[in-house]
Amino acid sequence: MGRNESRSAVLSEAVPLAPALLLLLLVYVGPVVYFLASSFVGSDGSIGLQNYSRLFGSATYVTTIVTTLNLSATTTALCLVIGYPVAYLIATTRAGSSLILLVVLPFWTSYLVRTFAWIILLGRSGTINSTLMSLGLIDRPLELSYNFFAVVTAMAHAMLPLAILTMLSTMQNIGSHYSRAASILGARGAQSFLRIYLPLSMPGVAAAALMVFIICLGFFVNPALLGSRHETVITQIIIDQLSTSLDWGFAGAACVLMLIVSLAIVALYQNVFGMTAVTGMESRESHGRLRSIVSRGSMRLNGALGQVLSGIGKGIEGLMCAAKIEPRAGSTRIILVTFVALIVAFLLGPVLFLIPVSFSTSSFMRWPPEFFTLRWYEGYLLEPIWTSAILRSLGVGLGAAVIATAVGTPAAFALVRSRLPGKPALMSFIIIPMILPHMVLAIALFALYARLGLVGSAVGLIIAHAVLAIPLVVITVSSVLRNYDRRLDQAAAILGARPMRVFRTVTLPLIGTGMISAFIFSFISSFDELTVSLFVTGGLTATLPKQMWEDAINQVSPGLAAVSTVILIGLTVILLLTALYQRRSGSTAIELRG
Amino acid sequence: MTDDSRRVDLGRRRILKVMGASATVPFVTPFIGRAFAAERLVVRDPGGVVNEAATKAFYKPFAQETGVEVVGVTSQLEPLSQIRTIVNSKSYLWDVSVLSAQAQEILGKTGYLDEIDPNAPGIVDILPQARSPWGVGFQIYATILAYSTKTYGDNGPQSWADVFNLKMFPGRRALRKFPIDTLESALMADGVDMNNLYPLDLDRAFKKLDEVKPSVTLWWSNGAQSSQAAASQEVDIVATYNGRVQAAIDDGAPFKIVWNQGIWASDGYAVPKGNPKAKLCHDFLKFCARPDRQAEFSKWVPYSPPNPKAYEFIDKARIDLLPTAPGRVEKMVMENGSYWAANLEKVAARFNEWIVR
Repeated sequence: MGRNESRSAVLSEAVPLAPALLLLLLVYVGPVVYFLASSFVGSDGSIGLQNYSRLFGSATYVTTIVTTLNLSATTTALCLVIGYPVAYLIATTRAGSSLILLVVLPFWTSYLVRTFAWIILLGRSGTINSTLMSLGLIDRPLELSYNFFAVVTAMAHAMLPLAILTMLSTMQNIGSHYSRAASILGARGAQSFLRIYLPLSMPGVAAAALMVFIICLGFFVNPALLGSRHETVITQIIIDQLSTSLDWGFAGAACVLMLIVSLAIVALYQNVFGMTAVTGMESRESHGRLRSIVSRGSMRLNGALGQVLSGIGKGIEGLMCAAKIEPRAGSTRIILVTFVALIVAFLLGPVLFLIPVSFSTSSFMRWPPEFFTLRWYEGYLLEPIWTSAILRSLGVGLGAAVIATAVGTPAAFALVRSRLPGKPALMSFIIIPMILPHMVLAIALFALYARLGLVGSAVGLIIAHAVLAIPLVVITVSSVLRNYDRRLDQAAAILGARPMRVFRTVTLPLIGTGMISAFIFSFISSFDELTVSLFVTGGLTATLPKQMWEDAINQVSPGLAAVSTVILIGLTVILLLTALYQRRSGSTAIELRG
Repeated sequence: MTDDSRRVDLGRRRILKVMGASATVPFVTPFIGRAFAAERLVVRDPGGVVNEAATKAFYKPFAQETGVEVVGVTSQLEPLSQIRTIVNSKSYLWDVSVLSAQAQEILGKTGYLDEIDPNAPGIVDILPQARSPWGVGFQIYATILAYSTKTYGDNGPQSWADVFNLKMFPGRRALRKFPIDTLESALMADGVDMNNLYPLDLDRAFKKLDEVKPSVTLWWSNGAQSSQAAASQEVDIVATYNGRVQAAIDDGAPFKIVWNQGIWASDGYAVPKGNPKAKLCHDFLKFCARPDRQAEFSKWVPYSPPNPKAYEFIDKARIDLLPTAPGRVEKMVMENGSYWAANLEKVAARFNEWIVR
């Protein structure tokens, strides 16, 4: 009896996961597995491992995988280091919410267009070089483009808002009373930061790292347009294979290899940092010896890291004392604000740069722009093909974000709070759409949709984008839930609130920021998604990124900058209105925190 | 009743067919227009300037004459996989597609394309080199070298050997990140006679490419990149399609085209197999082969008409910008589509391996 009851209880806890898993199985795993299975079919039709022996027999794949990992790791490190102070300032300042608006601003311009902005900014006779030359600071142009530096700069620029928002959602749940308690107990600013704040914010940092890293693995536009031949990534090779060599089996093998590498990294991550960072799972029970050894090791590592950090903190304080600098809160604040201002300038630079370019008379994107014409605005925005693409993308983005949030949030709850066995495995399963290049899904879905008659339909695209966004929602909401103090729910329940009321009046407001971020991420990921759209939208039903991509691969004209500027202004207005509305109706989340 | 109407219907169809066979195009088109009033053809093209020119020369006029709306949609170059998927799944996202010579051969030989009627009016006039059993040429372009006159004055590189000569011509280069054309240019640079390029001596080509590797700043994969690099003077020497450099020159970029040792090729329209609208597709192909249409196309983008009769309709100043202007073709070599159809897969793999090394 009792056993049956507990089993049914566990089963009912699994129910919230069902929609997400079902969607993933039907729209992702099924079609993709079918495609990947082709990797075991050789070019002569025989079943075997010949595609794999070819794969490892060639230096191309090993080299490009190393390049991909290197670019992703560098970008991730850069995003964390420069993003942390920004997130920290937003979380600890009154003006934080206005700062968020600036940070997410680059999100509102197409990733593709920003890449072109970087080409002009970093070029030999580009903005930075020509400015430095005219100031007499350099004699000959710096080598800023077509190298590792350019690719990492543009990738970090693309990923930084995501990193900041992810870290922020954890930081906002760190109560200021901890720091206050530390300072009452005599800890100085640096010490309380290093020993209290930093460790508490680590789950957010780890979640940001995992997310940025995994998304970077799939990047190919930046490396292709801004890199040299040394920055050729594995996704690019897979795409070349698929679109040129027609070698489905071999491309499938390359995809399998990439999947294995990604899963290995996730597994490693899970063991060193603990997947708790991402899923909010508390893995008290040890699964096997290896895991417990690793987790003990990682605990020691964490402890050691803490000591090292506080040691550094003491060292800095010592140095400051020796240099007779009073460690006033004010001076560190000034340094912090200056640093954050620089980062915000980095984030906004390429975005604002596009505005003057959009009025340029030249047919190419050039520096300096020659003024003044409105022809790009007229030529593009009066074209029905562009306006319908904009509307279509907005619709698809909203649809996908609604589905992904509706399906992903319950899944995140189940993964964090239930007692289901095998939660790490489930989590790894859910984030698969983030790890694999979108190209794989694009091809797999094209075949499926063609059979269902869904090619070219908005519904097909919304479902595909929703599936791609589910991992973003699950990870974001989980990272908020992990820091969520369940005693608040229990308190409400004890005071007589029913479960729905607890959810509505306590839980929801507290995780609201996380859900809104999740919704925004989903919307953006759809609004900016290109690869799947390229395949499943067919000929006439282009989304905005597809329309822009077509324009961009054929002519790099200021028209792209014009479209981009209009989107930027439109979405910023929407965002500002939302923010105003929130302020007027009074954000319960902020009140609760205060 | 039913029998009667069926007979009438058959009769009308037969008349149409007879008329179509007699191929008095202007006479038939009003009928086609009525028969397919709500029809639409989706044509995959490489976009950009080619799309603009094709819209003016082919799509809109075809709609005016037949009432069939033609919509050009863009996709990445060489959409081999997409065509295969389209045919296999019978979902005809594209009714007609622009394909390179080697793509026509690869897809045609494996049964993915309709065969064209080589004797149809218009098509019969197309240069045999710009025609395949599966495709009708509408543009001839050339991969040429161009140099910055700002960097080299008028004494820039005049041959592929010069492009590969880093001592004599120091500077940044942009080459295509693809074996087609790049290997040919390397072999010519190494002194291979341009009439004896094929089959390519791959070892020799890659060895020669090793020499130029350090000076290649940009390996471009789509034409717009090469235009942009020339327009923003990111590089000093660029190897790309003549239309791409011309676009930058028209915008004021100080570049000069060298036609010597250019590699010319043609793109054609092809029809993926099994389309219920095949008849209409082939009518479109015939329409695009017409001399007046091909001449109109050349007005908007500097690529030559594969139908020699089109030159009557092109003025002299324009001809001067085309790859087939007098005295040019003799100095150029034709890209061997059959060679690439047979070897692209293998050579591309080797090229990819070489480039990341």
